[in-house]
Amino acid sequence: MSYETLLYLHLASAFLFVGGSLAAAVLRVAALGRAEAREIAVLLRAVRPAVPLVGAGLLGTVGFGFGLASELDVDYGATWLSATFALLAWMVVVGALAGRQDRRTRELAERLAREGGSVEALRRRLRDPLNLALNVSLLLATAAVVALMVWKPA
Amino acid sequence: MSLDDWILALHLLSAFALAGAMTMLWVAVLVLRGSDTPAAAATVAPVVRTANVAVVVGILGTVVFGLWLAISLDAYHPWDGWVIAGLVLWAIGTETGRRGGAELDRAAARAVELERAGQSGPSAELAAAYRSGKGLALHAASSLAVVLVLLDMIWKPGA
Repeated sequence: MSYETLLYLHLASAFLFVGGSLAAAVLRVAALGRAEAREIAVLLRAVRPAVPLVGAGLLGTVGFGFGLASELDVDYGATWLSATFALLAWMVVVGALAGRQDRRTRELAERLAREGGSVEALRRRLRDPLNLALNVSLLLATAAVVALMVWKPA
Repeated sequence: MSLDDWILALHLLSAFALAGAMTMLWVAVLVLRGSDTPAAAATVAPVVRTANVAVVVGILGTVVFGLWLAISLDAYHPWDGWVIAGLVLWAIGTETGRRGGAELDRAAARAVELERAGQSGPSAELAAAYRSGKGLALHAASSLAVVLVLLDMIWKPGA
């Protein structure tokens, strides 16, 4: 693959990854402000189309990024690249954990929307400090990776 | 880092804002296409509002910092064919995106009217508005223009 093709696929993947992550974050924050299980269920269900975008975007960004690094003879030990790898590993692990928790929250919201019942447990799950912290850390890591890619410090 | 490096970084960040906004709008469009109640429009409203802000930042940032680079860097000029092609595609993407957004706004406004009239249940009229073929085509055209701009920026044909 030529340098241009690799760069195009790397950037397009990064755009998908960041776009999908932002969409999922906005929908999740919007769900926090809703009182009814039906509304929360619709918002959390809307996160689902963003998930494959985030996954495919992340894979493409890393895969084509490796191709680019190899094409440009970039030192894999460079600080900005090592920091990026560490952040990506964090995103994969934490993304899987937070994603599983979010799926359970969505299933609870869908069940309550269907069958009725108290939304207290649902609201507690949505406001769970650990889950919120994990999701915020994912957003911060995404922003940090974009900044590292754009500025390549040191 | 030189000033040009900073401008390139801001140009890229604006492109991220634009692409992020397009993705968010696609999520909103897909959610609405599967719905037929006024509540659906209210549900995706925060996503659309955030995307609208990111679109403005993205379209202004990409063109302003892009033109700045074309003027500042010796290798490129604003009258280069690929730069002009990029500007034309950017204008097409902006206008089709604006019209697609207007279709979405019309459907959302109708949803608010129905909600205020106490009709919060499923509505065939609203389902048709949410599934507007024109809105989908305009949004797809706008996204295609963004993809073509990215191709143009990377391959720089004729440069």
